[in-house]
Amino acid sequence: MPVRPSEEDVDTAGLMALIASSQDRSAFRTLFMIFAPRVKTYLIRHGAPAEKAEELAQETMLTLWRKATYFDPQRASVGAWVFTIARNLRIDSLRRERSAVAYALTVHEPEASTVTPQTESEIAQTQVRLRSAISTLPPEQLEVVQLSFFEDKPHAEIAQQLSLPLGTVKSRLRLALARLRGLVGDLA
Amino acid sequence: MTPTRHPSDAVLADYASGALRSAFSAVVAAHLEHCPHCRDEVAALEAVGGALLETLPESGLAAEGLERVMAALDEAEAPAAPAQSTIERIAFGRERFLAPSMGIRKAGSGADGELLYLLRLPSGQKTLPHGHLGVEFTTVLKGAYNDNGALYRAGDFCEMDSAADHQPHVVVGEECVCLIASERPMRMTTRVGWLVQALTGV
Repeated sequence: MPVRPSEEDVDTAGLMALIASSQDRSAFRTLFMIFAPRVKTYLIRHGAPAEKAEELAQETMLTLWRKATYFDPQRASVGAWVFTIARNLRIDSLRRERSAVAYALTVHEPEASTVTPQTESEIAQTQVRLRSAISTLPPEQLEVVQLSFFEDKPHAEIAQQLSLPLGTVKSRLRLALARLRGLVGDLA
Repeated sequence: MTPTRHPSDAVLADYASGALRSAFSAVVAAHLEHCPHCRDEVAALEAVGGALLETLPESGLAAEGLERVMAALDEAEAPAAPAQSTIERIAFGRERFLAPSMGIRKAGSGADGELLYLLRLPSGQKTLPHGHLGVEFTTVLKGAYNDNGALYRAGDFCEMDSAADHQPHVVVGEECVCLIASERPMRMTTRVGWLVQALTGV
């Protein structure tokens, strides 16, 4: 039984580089074990049945393999990139299911990428800072951030679920996002 | 020229988390193509999304899942062609003329009845006064218009809610093309407006 790697002690950007340069399968295996179980959780939180979540998590990882050469370590962390791939697949799959109305639109939002390049180590440090900030957010702020990123609910519904006034949900979310956003630094 | 009128932080956060309906998402995407500032903002929010993803607990995977994916790697298709612009990715219907050199192209309607369309207005055109029954997002693609004392130029983004009535006025010199998503049909405030609405369905 291989030891399950954690993204904290693995150079994920380095593994992406190996995949891009030489289709390195063992690098892919490691990334799969880090991200696929969490992508599955992300999709389940968005209401996907377990089987569908599994299928979309696999598709997310296949997309990472196929598009490896598009990943730019100076413009996004691997985590942010995987997040956007999973988000786009989730949106697409929901749209397909809903689009009996034949919504004549197929928008694939681009994958995560800043305009302003940073160094790889800056990006890695930012991710470490973000993870530690998330773990120290006041619980009531963490709750609204997670609901907003992971449950696809309008703010009004989040407010109802938490039995809070809408204004309170909005201000907590604004505070928490401003705090996390601030840690990413001034890119522009 | 970079845009000067941007989506609010809340709209960018909804875009980055994938919470916007596709019609609204498309209008934000059209603005992002013109706006390096907002692209960096969205990337920062996506970095937050990535960090949140990394802190999620793991779900158990099907035993054969990894091997199935490993086996599929060789057959993985080559990446799709480089992304076109937002406008090129939307399937619009044929242009319907409301008047000479004034036309509308709709892209169907979404699950909740929201509309996405391109509106082309000639230089100097004053629109009919109207309000909205829900949220409306606009990104200017070409030309410029004045609205409630503010100037919107190519790339600028405007969010209207149901509270305000307005009457955009195209700046003289060039036609104006906008990509618009609206939650509900407009609320016309004049009789002529009702008639136009009956004819066009926006």
